[in-house]
Amino acid sequence: MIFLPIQLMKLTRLLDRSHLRQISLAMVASAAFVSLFAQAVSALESRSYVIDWFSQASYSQDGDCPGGVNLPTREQYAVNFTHLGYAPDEIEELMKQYALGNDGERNVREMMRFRGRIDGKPVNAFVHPWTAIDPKLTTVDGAYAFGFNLDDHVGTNSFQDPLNKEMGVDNELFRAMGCIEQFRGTYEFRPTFWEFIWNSMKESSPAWLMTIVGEDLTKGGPITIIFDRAMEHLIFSPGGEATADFTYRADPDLRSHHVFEGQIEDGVIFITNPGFLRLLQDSLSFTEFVLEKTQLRLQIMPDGRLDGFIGGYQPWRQFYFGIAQGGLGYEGMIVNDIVGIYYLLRHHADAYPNPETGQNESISATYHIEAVPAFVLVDKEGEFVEYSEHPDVSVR
Amino acid sequence: MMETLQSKSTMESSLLHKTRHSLVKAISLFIGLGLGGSLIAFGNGGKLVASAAEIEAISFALGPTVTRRLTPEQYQRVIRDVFGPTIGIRGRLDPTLRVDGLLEVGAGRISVPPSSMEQYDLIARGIADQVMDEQHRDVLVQCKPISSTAFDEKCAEEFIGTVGRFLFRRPLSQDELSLHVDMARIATATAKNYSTGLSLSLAALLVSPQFLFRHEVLEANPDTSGKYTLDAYSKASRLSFFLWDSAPDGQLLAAAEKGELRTQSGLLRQVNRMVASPRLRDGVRAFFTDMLHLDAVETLTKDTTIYPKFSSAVAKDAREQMLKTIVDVLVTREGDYRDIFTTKKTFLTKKLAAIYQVPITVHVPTGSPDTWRPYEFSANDPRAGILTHLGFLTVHSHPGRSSPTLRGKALREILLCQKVPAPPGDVDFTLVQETDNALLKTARDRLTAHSTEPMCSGCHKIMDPLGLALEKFDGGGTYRTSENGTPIDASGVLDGVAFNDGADLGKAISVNPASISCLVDRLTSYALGRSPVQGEMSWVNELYKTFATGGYAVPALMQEIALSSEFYHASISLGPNYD
Repeated sequence: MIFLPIQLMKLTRLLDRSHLRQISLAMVASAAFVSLFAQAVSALESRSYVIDWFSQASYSQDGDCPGGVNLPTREQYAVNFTHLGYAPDEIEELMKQYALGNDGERNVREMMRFRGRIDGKPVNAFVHPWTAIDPKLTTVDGAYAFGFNLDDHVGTNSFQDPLNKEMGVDNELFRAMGCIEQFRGTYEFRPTFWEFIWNSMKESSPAWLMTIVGEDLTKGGPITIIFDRAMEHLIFSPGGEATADFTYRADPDLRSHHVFEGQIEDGVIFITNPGFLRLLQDSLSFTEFVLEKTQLRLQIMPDGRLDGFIGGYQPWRQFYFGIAQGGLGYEGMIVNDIVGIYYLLRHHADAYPNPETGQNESISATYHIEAVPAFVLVDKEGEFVEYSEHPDVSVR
Repeated sequence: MMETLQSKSTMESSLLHKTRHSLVKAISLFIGLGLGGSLIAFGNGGKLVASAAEIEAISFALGPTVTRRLTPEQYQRVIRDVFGPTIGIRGRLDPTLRVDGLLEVGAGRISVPPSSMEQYDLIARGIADQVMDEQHRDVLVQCKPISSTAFDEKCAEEFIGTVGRFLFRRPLSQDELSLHVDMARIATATAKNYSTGLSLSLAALLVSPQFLFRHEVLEANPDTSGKYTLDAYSKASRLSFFLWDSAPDGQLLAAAEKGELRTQSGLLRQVNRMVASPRLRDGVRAFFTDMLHLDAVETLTKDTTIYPKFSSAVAKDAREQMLKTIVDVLVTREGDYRDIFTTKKTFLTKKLAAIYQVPITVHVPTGSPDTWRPYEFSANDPRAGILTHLGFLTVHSHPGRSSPTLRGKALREILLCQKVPAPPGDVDFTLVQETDNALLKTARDRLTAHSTEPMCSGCHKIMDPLGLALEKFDGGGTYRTSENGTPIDASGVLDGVAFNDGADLGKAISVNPASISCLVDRLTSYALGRSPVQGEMSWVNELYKTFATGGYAVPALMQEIALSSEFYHASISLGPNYD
């Protein structure tokens, strides 16, 4: 373990303190594993994957949004003008001009961008959403959602997972976003928003990698699960499907390197020590994907792919600003009301309260991920090797 | 200005029309004389010197010369060599016909039909325009004219003479030089632009049959009365296309001009220089591209719903992988030809590695062009030798399934030089095509059932046992151990040598005497542009022995051929069907 302080010293020079805390935790957590890892080194095998589909897990059903789904953007804008105190005839004229396009449309869009008020003066509502009126968007009122029981508690507000029937599922992100049309979807049908996001991400961000290491991966038993960000983007065919068996290099930046203890049980991969996960992106949307108390449930498919869920508590402000940075473009085309989303997330956040304000800073969330087999190589003193050939690599 | 342009356009059109018309006629005449190996034989004085009786006698002992059209690859390489790599070929040249297993033999059987002539003309004008554009002319046209708008005869002569010597692979005759200088003069006067005039003249050189066809001239053999040998420039050209797949360079042309190629010591000096040159790799690549039918990659298609990793880029990489591997074994490591069937060493791109299901690292930024990395398959990897490479496995398969029959046929015909008869026209292929047949789960099962048809069994016995050795590689080249849940049996026997899988088959091919003789036969045919005739077989037999005693080194064999007098001797034959 002599390399731990050395690594930390190097990282101290490279990273800010907040990064350091998380890396230290990840390293310390993984250190315990290293000793086990080293003992069994001769018998280890690894399998790696590249994530080729990532989406908020939606389980939208008919009738799960009381009063119907939220309004489309144009109609929502009319409601927002009402909240801002405009008279019906003024709103009618504004929306008429909006429909005609050009200056009229631009004018309405700018009015909506600056629908926040500070001391009576218009401010950018996407940047300062708390200065705009909560449009009180509709949320999901259903019994089922994909996910995990993150708090080991089955409460009146929790869901049941429709696939494995687990009770006490915490997925408030689905509840919050599930009545916005572009966030609705099922296991088979991807929500439009996430289709858009993923298609942008996979072309603009380094790929996300997952490796499982164990003594015999064809059988059940304990494993190590390693997440990394790649140096390369996801490689996909002209048809848009990820190509299996490509080689990716794990990014030496430890901020995206996380190690979990896990288990394979009946062909399903689980995390057994839920912990912190962060995967950085160079994204058009979310700058990083962060989960606390990360859990995993991935089915190993007959063709070698993985299909299932990853969940945990996600910092909701990151989620919000990932959408808000899209500004009017997102609001007009993809989501109906960005300010409304801010309030949804804030109200439904269910973990990690701010000690001073009591406001929960994270929201329970579950994502549907798919992954295809890949080769993941890590740097071992200048030589790139597979994880099975590099027992110390869990703390690199 | 417009008037000038119109006038230029009219002039160009008129000139080119005349040029094209005369060229098509010239090519027709050329082909009439040259195809099938017939050739006008000239003595030193340029007149026919052989009598009919002499011709008949010599034809048994020596084959004829063959007038070969430049292959698209040779055309590109000559343009690159003469004008540099930044001059592009803007268009697609006519493909070549494969005859007796080789495109290089087919190149002696083809012409340029009028419709293709237009394409050649367009490409030629595109090249000429690039050579004369502002970016290139200062470098490529050494002599600077006195004015950009007036004709400079001295400079034009210098440029046309210099370039023409490389393109025609001999100095231009005075008549040829005058014709092209006149063409440049008229065009310059009309367009009031010297570069335009020169460009037009260059385009005419590039559509000349003297450039497009490798026209060989015989002269009386000074050592042997009544026999004929290539003249010095034809010798240089044959040598250069054989070893470098391109036209002679300045040194070789100079050696021809000085008569050095007429002496064995002079020839030896040039051959040694050429064999030692890195350009030998071009020659080796060209030969194996031809012999192994790697041109088929250009038109290779696969059903990407079945083989999602396949793409045209993968196909090109697959061809390049085979060529890199072959050049590495034969040239870089100066190895044994037989090793190409067993070597674990190869080169991969990331795309290929994904299909081979092996990891490779390429340290380049995302989005960079794919790069090549040396790779050695592990001892327990099922791949070894070129037969287990995608370039072989995918080309000799169907778009949606593997084909032991096609693979077996290719092994027999390409690597063992054994002819497999074509199938009858009314064969029922239903059984072999039913890859989801519940009872006949593997290709072996299906082919066994199909072969019970008496009309099919004869040929399938020749092809299938070899092809089945590669069944653990599907039609996309991916390794598998079972088909429809049933384990694949890839075992068999080739001429008493048993094999269990594709790698074993490579070993069996490598030790089979037919694969050695096949290589020598193909290489001599490739060199001559035709199959050796009866009188040349003693030479070929000697080459078999030389190849063996030389450790099956292909560059050494090429050198031996290039130094053989038989390589340059020929008969004169006036009939088109020498064989």
